[in-house]
Amino acid sequence: MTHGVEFTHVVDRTLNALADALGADGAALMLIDDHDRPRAVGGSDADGRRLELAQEQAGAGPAFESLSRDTDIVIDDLRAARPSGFPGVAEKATGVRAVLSVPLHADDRVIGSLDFYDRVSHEWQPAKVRAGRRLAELMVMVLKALAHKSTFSGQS
Amino acid sequence: MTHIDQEALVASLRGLQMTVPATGIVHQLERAVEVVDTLFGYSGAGLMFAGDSKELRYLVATDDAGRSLEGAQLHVGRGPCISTFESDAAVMTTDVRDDPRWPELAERLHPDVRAVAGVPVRLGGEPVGTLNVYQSTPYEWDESDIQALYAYANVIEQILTAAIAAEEKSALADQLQYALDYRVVIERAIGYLMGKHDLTAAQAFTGLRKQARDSRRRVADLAAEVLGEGAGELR
Repeated sequence: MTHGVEFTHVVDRTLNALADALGADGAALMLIDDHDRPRAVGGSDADGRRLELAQEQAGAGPAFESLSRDTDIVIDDLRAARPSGFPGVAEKATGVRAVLSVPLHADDRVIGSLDFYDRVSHEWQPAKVRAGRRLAELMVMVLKALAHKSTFSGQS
Repeated sequence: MTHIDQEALVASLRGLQMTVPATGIVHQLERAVEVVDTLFGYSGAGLMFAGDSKELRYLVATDDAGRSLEGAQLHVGRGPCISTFESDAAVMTTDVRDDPRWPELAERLHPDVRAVAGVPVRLGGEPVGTLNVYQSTPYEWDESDIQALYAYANVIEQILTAAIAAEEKSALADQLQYALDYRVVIERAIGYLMGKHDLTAAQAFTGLRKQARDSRRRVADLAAEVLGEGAGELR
């Protein structure tokens, strides 16, 4: 098993565990790559992957807002009209309604965004937003451990 | 099958590798337990591992009260955390001081340790340790508590798996064993610093860890040095 393949399994299982820990239907990941581009890394399920891809293609969405503003973005219903929702993204991520997007920090740098999502629209409670923020730290730990000492050949 | 784009992940990790300094697995696990402790809002949390001796010992504990769980169980040879590890399943007690399964534990435990819950931390499907939380008053654990604990234990497993994927498994085991072996030295140094500078245990440990990090030394090496200096002062 190559590093890359093994790493995808670790990230997959981490996203699933974080979603379980928050009591969300799923979790998905957008990361800044080595060319400073936001990349849709994937999700705990197909809906999560679609959510990230839709945002990457649109160049907009809660993960992008969270990245660029370096703050939590709370979307009660993705289908709502702007600025409450992102209907363009929602069209391509039909299984996702409520999204909580939190920035990922490695030291002082924003390295990406972690999206928690539910399949029904709802208001995000402040306690859940705070928990999402702390869980993002665990995601960063996993990513740092994967990046640590690893050798990645080639360029994207 | 996963829903992860391998190429995007590797490109992102490559970017992360350029800027993020490495932190050891033990430090990461300490941070993970701190996060769990904050999220739960219980009285304390800890992570126990079975080292070479197969005895279950604390790698990380958020406070002294929680740490007493280790000593009491090591002495008696059983208890909720040992049961968790041996049965590879969640074990909980509403009040460990009044639990007929472990009547000998009460007198050896810190009085603030009452309700205890633990779940196994697994690696490759096998239990390697336990994640424990406690409450300072009797508490009825419910299914959601245990589900959340399992979820966090799963995240800790992924941190360990990620570290193994990035490092040699033997090097990782060495780091964990080192932390278990040298913890006694660290705790003695903490006691010495508390007495000398009138600090709490947490302040003493944070200061020790910061100084070790700043001087790029292991906490245990610095702790040994502190104790050596202390002995010199006494002579």
